[in-house]
Amino acid sequence: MVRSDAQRSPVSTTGEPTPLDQGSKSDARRFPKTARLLVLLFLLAFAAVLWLRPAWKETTRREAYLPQLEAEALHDPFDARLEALLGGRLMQAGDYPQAAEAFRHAWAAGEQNSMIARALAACTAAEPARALADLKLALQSLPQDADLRRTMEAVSRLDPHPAPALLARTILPDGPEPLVTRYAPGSGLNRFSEWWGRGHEEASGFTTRQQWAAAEPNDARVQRLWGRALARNRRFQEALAALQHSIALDPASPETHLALADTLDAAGLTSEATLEYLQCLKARPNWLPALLGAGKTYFEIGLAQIAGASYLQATQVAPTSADAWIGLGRAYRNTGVDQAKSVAAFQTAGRLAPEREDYLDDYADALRQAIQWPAAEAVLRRRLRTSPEDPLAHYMLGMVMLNNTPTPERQIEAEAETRTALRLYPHSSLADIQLALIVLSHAQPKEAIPLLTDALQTDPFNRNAMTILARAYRQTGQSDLADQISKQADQLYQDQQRAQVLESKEAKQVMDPEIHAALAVLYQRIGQSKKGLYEQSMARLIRSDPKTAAEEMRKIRSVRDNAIAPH
Amino acid sequence: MYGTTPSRHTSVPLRRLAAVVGAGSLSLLIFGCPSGNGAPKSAPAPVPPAASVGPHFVDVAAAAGLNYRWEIAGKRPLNILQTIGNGCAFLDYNGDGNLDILLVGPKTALYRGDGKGHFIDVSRETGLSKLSGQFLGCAVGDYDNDGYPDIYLSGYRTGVLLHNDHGKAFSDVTRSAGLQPQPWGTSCAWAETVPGSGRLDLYVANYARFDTGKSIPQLCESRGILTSCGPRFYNPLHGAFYRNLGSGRFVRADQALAVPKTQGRGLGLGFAPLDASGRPSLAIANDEMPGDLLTPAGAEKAAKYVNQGVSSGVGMDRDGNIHGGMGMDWGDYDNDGRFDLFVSTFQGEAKSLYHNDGHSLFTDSTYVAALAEATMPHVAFGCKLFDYDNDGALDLIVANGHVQDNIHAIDSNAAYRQATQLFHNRNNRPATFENVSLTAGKDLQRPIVGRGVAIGDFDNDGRVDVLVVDSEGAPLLLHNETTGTGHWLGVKLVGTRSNRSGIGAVVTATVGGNQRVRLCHADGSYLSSSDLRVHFGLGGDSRAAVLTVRWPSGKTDLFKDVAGDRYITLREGGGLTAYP
Repeated sequence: MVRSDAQRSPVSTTGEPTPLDQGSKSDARRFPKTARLLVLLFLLAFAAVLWLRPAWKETTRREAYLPQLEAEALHDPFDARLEALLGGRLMQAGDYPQAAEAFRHAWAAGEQNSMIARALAACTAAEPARALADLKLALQSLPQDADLRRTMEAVSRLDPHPAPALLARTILPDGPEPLVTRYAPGSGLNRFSEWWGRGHEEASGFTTRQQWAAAEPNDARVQRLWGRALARNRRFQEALAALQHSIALDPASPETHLALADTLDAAGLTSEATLEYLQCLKARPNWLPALLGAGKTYFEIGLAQIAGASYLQATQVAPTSADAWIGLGRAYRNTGVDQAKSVAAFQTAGRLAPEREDYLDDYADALRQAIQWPAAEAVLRRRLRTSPEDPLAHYMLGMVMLNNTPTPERQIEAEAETRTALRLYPHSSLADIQLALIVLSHAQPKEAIPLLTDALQTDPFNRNAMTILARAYRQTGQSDLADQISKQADQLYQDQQRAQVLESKEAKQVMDPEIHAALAVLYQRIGQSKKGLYEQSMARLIRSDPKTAAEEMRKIRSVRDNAIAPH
Repeated sequence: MYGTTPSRHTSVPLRRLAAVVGAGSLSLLIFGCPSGNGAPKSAPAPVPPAASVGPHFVDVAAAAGLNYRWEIAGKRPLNILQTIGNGCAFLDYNGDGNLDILLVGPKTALYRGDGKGHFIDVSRETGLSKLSGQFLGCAVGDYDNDGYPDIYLSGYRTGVLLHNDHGKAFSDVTRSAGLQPQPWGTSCAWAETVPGSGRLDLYVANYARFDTGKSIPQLCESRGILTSCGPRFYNPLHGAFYRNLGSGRFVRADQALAVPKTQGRGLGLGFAPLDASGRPSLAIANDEMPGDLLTPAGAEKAAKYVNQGVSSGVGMDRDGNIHGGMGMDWGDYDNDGRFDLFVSTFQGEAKSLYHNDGHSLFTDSTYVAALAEATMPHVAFGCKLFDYDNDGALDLIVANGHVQDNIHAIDSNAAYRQATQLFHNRNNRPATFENVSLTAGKDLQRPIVGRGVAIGDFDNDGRVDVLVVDSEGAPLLLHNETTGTGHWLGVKLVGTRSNRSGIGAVVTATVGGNQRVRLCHADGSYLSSSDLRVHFGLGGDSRAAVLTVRWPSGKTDLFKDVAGDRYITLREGGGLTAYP
């Protein structure tokens, strides 16, 4: 209740009503009317909330990107409509196994209709028998469903062993789009969301961008946003097409080149992504996202030293960027030189972002390499307190314990940690090898052999697994096998040494395509296919466009020479 | 120099005085007249058990008369040839029972020791001063069984065999013996590879193909700085095996030892018999190549050798990684009766201690033995397993020094000059080592460009001393002044059917109900050769209940109730006599 200053009066000391009391009585008389108004307002607001909340939920779900849907589904696995939409989006991304999983969840949670059933069957079309079984099961639940019956008839007309793509098309002729439309209708707030999205384009949702891109096909900026949206939904081919279209409309846009680089990287086209990041840096030499991106892709290619140069520059451009320091720490760690610098970089990142834990495994590894084993162990235990399901942390904890005072008790704990790592991530060649070493130290070569052969199945170029396996074979008296695997390891090692020598030659003769080509072959032979592809593309570029290649090489060299020098 | 009496608590000045005044007579009293049953007439005073051991080593090189210095000629930064380093040796070239010192380099020098800690340069009178060549390493062994140890000097584009002319001079007999210069000879060793032949054969490791031609990289860039290239830039070279035909003649016999099956780029090497056949196996530490273990494929004398480096477990480190093998040494560090293998390696790599599990199978026990953490930061070369405190368990010394003279500019945490490390064997189960470098005296901590290491008791006081090469400085003659050491026994072997040096013989001492197995060998370490006398730390026991010698010939001699704290001579098939 609001009162004016004019209503104020001195407080009575006699107990008689004062003007103020009179005023209060007057207010009290008015109260029912105000209260009514307030209640009405409250009810209106409540009704609005009642209506708005689900409406807004529908609209945000319509606008949501795939990672958001995945996170939501993780949070609420019994939301059948959400699972159905997630399945549709995953299907659009071509991730059929995960999509099938989502459709199964949707069905189990009560969303039992022919569309879900057919979508599920379409996702399992790679195994026609399974797809057919899925359809039959659905028909048992929905015997009267005409769509399902028609689908069954259409499928029965196919060849007994249909091609998966044909089977999927037969089951779901219109693809996942109708399903997505059905489960992401949005609400009356769609227009508001679209309006807001256009005003805040970087935060705009998927459908907003989709419609916007359709409406303005010649707007480079809009096409870039659409490309980014597709990439976030892991529809990389479509994203790349949209971004290429955007670049065609505005070739000089560094933002679009960055979007293209990020998308290429996300699509696993690391070498191409690196070149795009370099394009970005040509336009904006100190652009943090491009520096971080270049660092990341160089690192992934295996050029840790050049990655370090990018990250170092990033830390100079943005000294408070934890990402830059983490990247620098990782790069230093992988160069194999001066691990103390790697540790220091991670420590800086820790100060800048104390809440972050995603880099702790790398930090622990740097500490391990810097021979600070107790500190590494402490970091890993911290990591496992908050992420007990991190297989890498379990594996590394086992490794550090085997290094640092491996008393019999600690060896037992290290073995348990390694076994946990393998349980959480069954196809880890590293954990396989570590466990093999442990059992070998207990003179159990027969248990070690399957672990090592598993490791070699996962990572056929793992020389360590080969040499340890050779010894295990010797221990079990299989000398011929031991010799055979020793020879393989020798050959691999010789190729690795040749590659290292050629790398050094390459640094001096950067424009010699023969060296790049030879390196490409050697990298393929030693299992470093990404590096091989990069060298192959470099060799090709030097032969086809020496001028551009020289420019790229000069850039790489100058980045490396200027930034990686001791500081 | 510091007296020959085993008086552990005598102060240094007092012992210096004793050395000057009466060391000789004391020596005569103690060692001069051995009794028939092996007990000395004058038993040494009881020694307390090794409870209060304090490792202490003092560099006495200058005071002892070793006026020598290694210098690296040429431009800087150094290339791989300049940085390879040199070796050294403890030997008794004139058979007087006192260790002499050989320092190998472009100017090779021989110093005659008087057993009291004094050395005189005899390079000129023995003819060694006339030698010219880029000599790197040495192997000492009496190849013609005349009772005087001969010397093979390895080197870059050289290699000479020096015949010992009755302890007076050395003659270069390389050509007449049929030996060829090696492209880049490094460590080398003598071994009786045909048991019972009585002849020492010679193995010389070769490193890598290198010259100053334009096609061979001299320097490489590391983080924008020119420095010595890593070994992978140079094609590996295989070693050379020379079979001793007798009459001073040798023939190249690489196939017999499976040399073509080796990896190449060998730096350290050593022979040890791994089974009862007595035929020695050869371990070679290769630089950034898998390590080799050449073992006889069968028990018969003519059996060929095979390379089991990788499959035996000594080819790589614990995790299956190839390391930069530099030096190595054989020794039974856990007293289980089998010879284990230690390999020194590059910075960032664990120095590998391979436990011998039997049947030529090894387990890398570096981490369990607590040797990894302290050794990883260093570039290690010369290394020897030896019992510095005479407690009966082999300890370990490692010489360190980087190969890149400008490493600090590349890696601010690394240094060219590095301290020598000493590890005490705790004699526990499983055996672990303790880094005692910081308490072993300031001379041990002095940063040097460490390369070759040899061990030997140059003053015959029963405490094994150490000789270390500083590639850019004077030698370190580390006198062992450890207090509270245990009893000891030194054994000089004289082969009759076996090679006269007794190289390859296995000596077992039963002490307090426990057996300690030691090998008669001068090889191991890096480019160096050690005292051939077999040393036993006896701990609190003053005698060995049983002493057996298994000679390379296959013959076994057994001695009972052998008193300790002295050197003795054991002749194959003969008896125990006074030393020398």
